[in-house]
This record gives sequence, C-alpha cells and structure tokens, in this order.
Amino acid sequence: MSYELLPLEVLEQILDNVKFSDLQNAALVCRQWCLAAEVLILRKSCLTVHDSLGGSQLEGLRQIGRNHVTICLRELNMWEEIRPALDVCRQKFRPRSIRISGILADHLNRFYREYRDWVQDVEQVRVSLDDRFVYYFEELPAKYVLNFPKAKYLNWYECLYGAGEKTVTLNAPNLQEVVIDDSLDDTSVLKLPGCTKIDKLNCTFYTKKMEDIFDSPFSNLVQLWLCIYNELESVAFLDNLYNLVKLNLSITYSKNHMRELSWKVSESICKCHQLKHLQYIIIYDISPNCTVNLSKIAQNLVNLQSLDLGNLFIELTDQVLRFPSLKTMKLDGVDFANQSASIRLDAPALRSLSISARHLRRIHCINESLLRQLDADLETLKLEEAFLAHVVPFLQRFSKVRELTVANHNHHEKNADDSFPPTVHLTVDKLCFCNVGIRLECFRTVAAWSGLKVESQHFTIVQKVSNHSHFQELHLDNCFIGTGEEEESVVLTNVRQMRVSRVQLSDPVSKEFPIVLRGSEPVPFDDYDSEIYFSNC
Amino acid sequence: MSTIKLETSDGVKFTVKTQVAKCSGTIRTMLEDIGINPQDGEAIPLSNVHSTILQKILVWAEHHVDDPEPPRDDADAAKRTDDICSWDEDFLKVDQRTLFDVMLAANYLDMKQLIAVCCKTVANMIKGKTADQIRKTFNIENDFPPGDEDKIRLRNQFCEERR
Repeated sequence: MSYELLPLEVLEQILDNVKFSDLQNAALVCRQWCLAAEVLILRKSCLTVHDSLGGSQLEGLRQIGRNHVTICLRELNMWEEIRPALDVCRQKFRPRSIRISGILADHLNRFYREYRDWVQDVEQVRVSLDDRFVYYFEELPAKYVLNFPKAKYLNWYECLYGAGEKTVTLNAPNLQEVVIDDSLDDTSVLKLPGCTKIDKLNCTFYTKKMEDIFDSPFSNLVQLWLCIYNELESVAFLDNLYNLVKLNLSITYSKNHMRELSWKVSESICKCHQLKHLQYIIIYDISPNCTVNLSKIAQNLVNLQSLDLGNLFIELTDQVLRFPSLKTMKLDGVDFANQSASIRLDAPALRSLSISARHLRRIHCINESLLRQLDADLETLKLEEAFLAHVVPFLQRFSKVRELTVANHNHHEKNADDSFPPTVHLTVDKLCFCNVGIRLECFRTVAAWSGLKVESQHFTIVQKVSNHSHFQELHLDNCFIGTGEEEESVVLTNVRQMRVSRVQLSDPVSKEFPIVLRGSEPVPFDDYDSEIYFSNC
Repeated sequence: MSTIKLETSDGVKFTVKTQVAKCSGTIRTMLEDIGINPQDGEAIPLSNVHSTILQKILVWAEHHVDDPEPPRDDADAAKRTDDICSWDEDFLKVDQRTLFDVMLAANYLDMKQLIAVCCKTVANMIKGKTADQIRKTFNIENDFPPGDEDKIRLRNQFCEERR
C-alpha cells in the first residue's frame, strides 16, 4: 500500500496535527515520513544544550548536518561541563534566536564574553535569571554590558531573591518587542538604553522602575502592557505615546503624590488619540485621591472599543459621553466623586457592561441600547436588594440584555443564607452566579422563568443580532448554596445547559447535586473542586 | 443552474453544478483564469482521479458547498483534531485505500477543507503510536538503510519542543 508515497506536502500537513512526541516517532517510519517529520521537528523545536552532554551525545551533536536557528542553553553555570557542547554548537550552528535559562547575570556575562562572536547577531533573545537553585558567584558587584545590535525581540525574566547588585546593560537599539518580568530583588538592575524602536512593551514590575531601565521616549509604541506593584513616583513614560492603540495599566501610586500623579496619567491617556483598548486599574484599594475624568476620555478617545477602569473615582460632567465604537465597558470597583453623577451614553455599539449593582441606576443610554451582557457586582448588597432595587429596574430599561452575571468580585461569600424573592422574573438566556452564597429555594424561582425560550427566539428574529439558536445556560462558579432542610431536588426544566464549578453545599442532605435539568440523571456530588456539566441539548 | 462536465481517468463523464465543482481550486482556476468554456459541452479531463473517488468527493462538495471561508489559522497555534464534524467523520469511515485516494485526489483538485479534514483523520490514527505500530497501521515498509534509524534518533534527541 501507499502511505509512504503520499506527496510530501500532504504528509507534512497530516503530521502538523500530531504532538511533538508523535513527530519523533513518525520520523522513524520510513524515508519519506522522515523527510516530512523532520521539517516539522526543525520548525517546532529548539536545539537544547545542557551540561550533561558528554561522550557519545557530543559525538551525535557533531554529526548533525542541518542548521538550528533556535538554541536553548541550560545550566550555563556548569561552565566546564557545558563548554565542549558550546564549542561544537559554535562551529555548526548560526542561531537567530537564543534562549538562556536558570542562571545568574554573572554566568550570562561569562558566556557572552567567551561566545559573543557566535551569538551577537541573533534577532531574538530570551533570558531567564533564577537564583533559587544556582550557587552565587564569588564576585564583587559588577556592571556588565552586552551588545545585541540585531535583536528585535527581548524576553527578560528574573526570579531573583538576593543575587543582585549587578547592573546589566543590554545595548540593543533595534528592539521592537520587549517583555520584562521583574523579581523581588531590588538590587538587580537592567538597563536598555536608546531603545526608540519598541512598538510592543509588556512589563511586570515589583521593584524596578521604568525610568531606570529605559532612557528614551517611546514614540513608536503601539501596545503597552504594564503591571507595576511598587508605588509609582513618576509617570513621565506615558508622555507622547501618540501611536498607542492598546494600553493596559495596572499600577499604584505613592500615597503622597496620588492626586497629582493620577491627574497626570489621565491627561497623558487623553493624548493617546489612537487608543482602541484602554484598561486602567489601580492595584490595591480605591482612594478618592485617585481619579479619572470619564468625560475627557470620551472627548479625546473617539476610537475606543473597550474601556476598563478599576478601583478609581470617576469624575464626570453633565454632558453625554459619545463612544461611537465602544463594545465593552467595565467599571469594576469604581466610585463617583459626585454622588448624584449619572453616566449618559451615546454608545450604539455597546454590548457588554460590568459595574457594581448599586451603580446601575447611574447608567443611561440616550438612544435604544443593544446591550447584551451585564455583569453586576454585589459588593456588600444582599441579593434581594441587588435584584429589586438595581438589577431588575436596570433590565427593564435595558431590555435586550440576554446574559446576566451576578457576582461578588472581591470576596468569597461564606454565608449561604441569602436569597431573592419569588417575584423576581427575568428573561435572560444565560445566568451566572459567581462567588455568591444563595439558598436552594432561589433556583425554584429560576425554574419558573418559563417564558424564556419564546422571548429569546422572538428577540433573534427581530434584532438579528445572532444567527445562533439561543440556549439557556446556568453557570454557578465558586458559590455556596444553602440547602437547609430541603430534600427534594430542584428540576430546571427551562435550562438547556448548566455548569457548576467549585460549588459548596451548606448541609449536603444527599450525595447528589440538588439541582438537575429535565431528563438528566442526578449527579453524585462530594467534591468541592469537581466541575459538573449538565446538558440536555 | 449552470453545470459543467468532468471526465475521470477511467473515461466516466460527470455533469456537476458549477458551484459544486468550484469547491476544487484546480477546476476554479481552469474556469476563471485559463478560460476553459464549459458551455462548449466538452468535459474537463481529470486524468488523476478515478470515477469511484470523484463520485465520493462530489458528495462531500455538495454537502459543504455553502460553508463559509475557514478562518486563517495561526501557524504556531496548537492544532486541534477533535473538531471534525460528525458528518465528515461518517463520510471518512472508509477503508484506508479509499481514504488515501480521496486525499490524493483532494490534493490534485486543491480542495483545502477536504484535505484538512482527511489529514486530521489520519493524524488521529498516528497519535500515541511507535514507529513500528505506525508502519503496521498503514502497511508501510521500513526502507531505511541499516544504521539510518540510529542517526535520526541521534540528531533529533537534541530537539525539544519550543514553547
């Protein structure tokens, strides 16, 4: 038969669907398969060199006839052991990408000094420093300078807890994409001078400061993702980001300069006129000194498609906020400087909103809203108040909402005694409770929401929002369900699918989960971590 | 509705809806770029495809004729093989010889979606098998000269999957 005669391109496409370990086996089937499999092995792998390559393995390395463009170096700290393999590699391979892991800056410097002619032309550099299992060098504090003039991509990861007091300067002026993951050691210093071409920057900092690493303006930046846990004292790096399309900021300010810095950040953000995606979240607690002016954002950022503000005080004027392209808006954990403030939106594309239940009354649309998803945070509200005073009135005004999440985003409810009254009747397709404590009897109320299906079909025909047939879905995540003395299960005849994850029962009266769908068998339930999925599609 | 004629390697002529025939990139190119005019009544010769296989492929094309363009997939994204639709799964429950011929013909006719689903089906037969088991499954002869297998093992042992 003929499977060895399949055209190479077809064989390659077949093997492109199997796991890497299967590729290694496929290469040993026959000559044709070997050709196809090795193309993929080369494309998907890196050549890995470590200290224990000796004897026959080293001989094998010498016999490799092909080039490897991605080289991964491990255990460079075992210098004498790894050098023979490095020497073979230097002779045989011209790497474009180099990955170095599990060492200290000293080892990196020693390697670079010895092998710079081999690696200095690489286009991708990944370095992962780690002092958890590596012995310290007996060297004095030092400054190291490494040159990678052709590098376009840098991924610098530190897991250092006290092996610092080293300054590593990487001269790589052509970098376009940089990822830095900082550690907890504030004495390790990284410097990237003259990097004016960066267009994507992604940093997580615990101790580092932007201004210590970079000395140039980021005028070409398109995407900026910053998560900074130490208190910011300067936000100058946000100046002049005129090309920025995506900005994710999770930051916190030094207590003394909060008002001034947050004002500056707001001003800087409003100058990024190309922004399509903005996320701006204050880590830790909300403070009245951390403000953001939503009216100004609307005036200046007309291209916004997603807006996510967290733990901020929002300032507003009385004017309507015009967001012609906005699809999702998250205002989790926000508060309002003016207690009577209301958000009047002209946002025809808005489909998804997330906000505290108690702020729902502030949201108004000046024209017909097609809002489809709502995520309401309970905060300290009881379910009854949240539903009757906030969620139900909101859904009456925003009648196109089809997916509702009721959540407790900031704490896990330990009390399973909460409930909403049987008078609550919602017409949604998908209902999700997350981190909520809730009495089982509430699901008897949900079971009576019978008109759902007709409503949703009607909705599809009239609005043509989606061609998919609607299904009703219930999702319970991390909830605490109060079963009390009830012994009878709740049967949800109107629900098509139910997903239950990390749910606890207050008084498990039986070993079966007390909520089932019509026609589904009762499911044994004894493990908090188990995930149950019901479907009667 | 416009139709065209196709003639297989064994001389059988098929009359096919043009829209269905155009599932094949090869036929589409013949009609649109090279300017073969099907109105002439002359059949397009498919000299690499046997009638039994073309028959089968036309059933597939008829069923998938209105499929939307598949999304362009990311070369580095992990490939899934558990997303074969049940109709295709049943369609490809055939002996290996036929599956192989369908794959060859689909390749010749440049039918990307059909090739993709065939490839996934074959890939699922490879998963978790040793080289020897793969050879047995597909009845492949081991044509390596002595010593080559060791060399292949040797040079691939340094390759680790890139993440």
